[in-house]
Amino acid sequence: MSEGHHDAPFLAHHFESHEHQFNAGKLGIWLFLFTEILFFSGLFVAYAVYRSSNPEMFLGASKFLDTKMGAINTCVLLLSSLTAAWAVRCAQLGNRKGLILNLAITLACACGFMVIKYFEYTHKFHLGIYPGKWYEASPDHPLHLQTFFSIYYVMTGLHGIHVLAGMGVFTWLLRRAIRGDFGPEYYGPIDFSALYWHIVDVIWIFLFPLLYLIR
Amino acid sequence: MSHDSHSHGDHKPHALPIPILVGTWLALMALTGLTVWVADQHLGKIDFVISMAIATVKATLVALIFMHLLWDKGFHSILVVGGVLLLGLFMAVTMFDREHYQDSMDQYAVDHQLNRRYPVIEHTDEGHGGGEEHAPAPEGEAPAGH
Repeated sequence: MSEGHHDAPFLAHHFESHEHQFNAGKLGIWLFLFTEILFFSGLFVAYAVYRSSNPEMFLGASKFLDTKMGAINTCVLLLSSLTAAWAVRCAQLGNRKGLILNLAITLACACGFMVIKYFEYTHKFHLGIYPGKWYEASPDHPLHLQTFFSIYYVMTGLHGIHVLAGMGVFTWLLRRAIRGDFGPEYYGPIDFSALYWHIVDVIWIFLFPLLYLIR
Repeated sequence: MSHDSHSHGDHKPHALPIPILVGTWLALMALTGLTVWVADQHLGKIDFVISMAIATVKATLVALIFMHLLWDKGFHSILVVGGVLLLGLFMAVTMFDREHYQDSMDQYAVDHQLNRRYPVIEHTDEGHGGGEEHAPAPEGEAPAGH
């Protein structure tokens, strides 16, 4: 950062002020979130097409998902959203301890989410419900079960990849927060990562009723 | 850019008060409980509408408060609303198209005998109840003419 502003190590030289840099970053992350909505919209449309064509199949297949597991994962993600938003507050107020604590809880919740997802996936594999062509039919399975689960695996899988990416981002943020990089002047990375994390939460908010709560 | 506040100390971030953060979270948890409870009331078709309405309220809470849109630049809200509108357009056009082909889909199901219990026959090697019913039906048995 030798070419940056001498009194502000994290202010890039092509920005006039921290506010200038923050606004540019904020616009960037919102444009990215816009593309994320479009990215997932294809999957929601695929879901709508298949569900409207096979309503009974979705009804029967949804019974193979554990509502309790899905609800717990929803709560885990909601808690992580709270701590992500709280982390932003702490960074804005210069509360380094609070920032570290909230980032750590967010990261722990992301890990917890993936652990629960792992148990759900392995349980499905145990029943022969593998993704796509690896699906193994059984007399206990309703008709076209694999169609529902192909959609389930792609939607929750892509969401899971986003959670994994978030875990990487929050690990990086935690390291920087411990180093003391952030404060009221410079908290853009915390704010932008929290926004990303919230959109991951929002997608799960829709996935949970669409996949688990078909009655 | 905004004003002429070039000195670094002038930028005062808007920090969300803790009661608002925790209150939003509690509302989200309550709505999660509500949607699970409603799903078990066996309300029939309206169930889908209710669960989507609750999910939309939850997503709106997250976007407006956690994601700060309520106090943020309007352009960021335009991006979100624009994205959702495009999703709606994508969904609507595709669903209209799908409705249009419903008859040919039904006919395809009849022609190809898609009412077999196990459509994927290659993977059922355990031999539940004999192999005959898993074999594809001979061409001659198709009810509809070609």
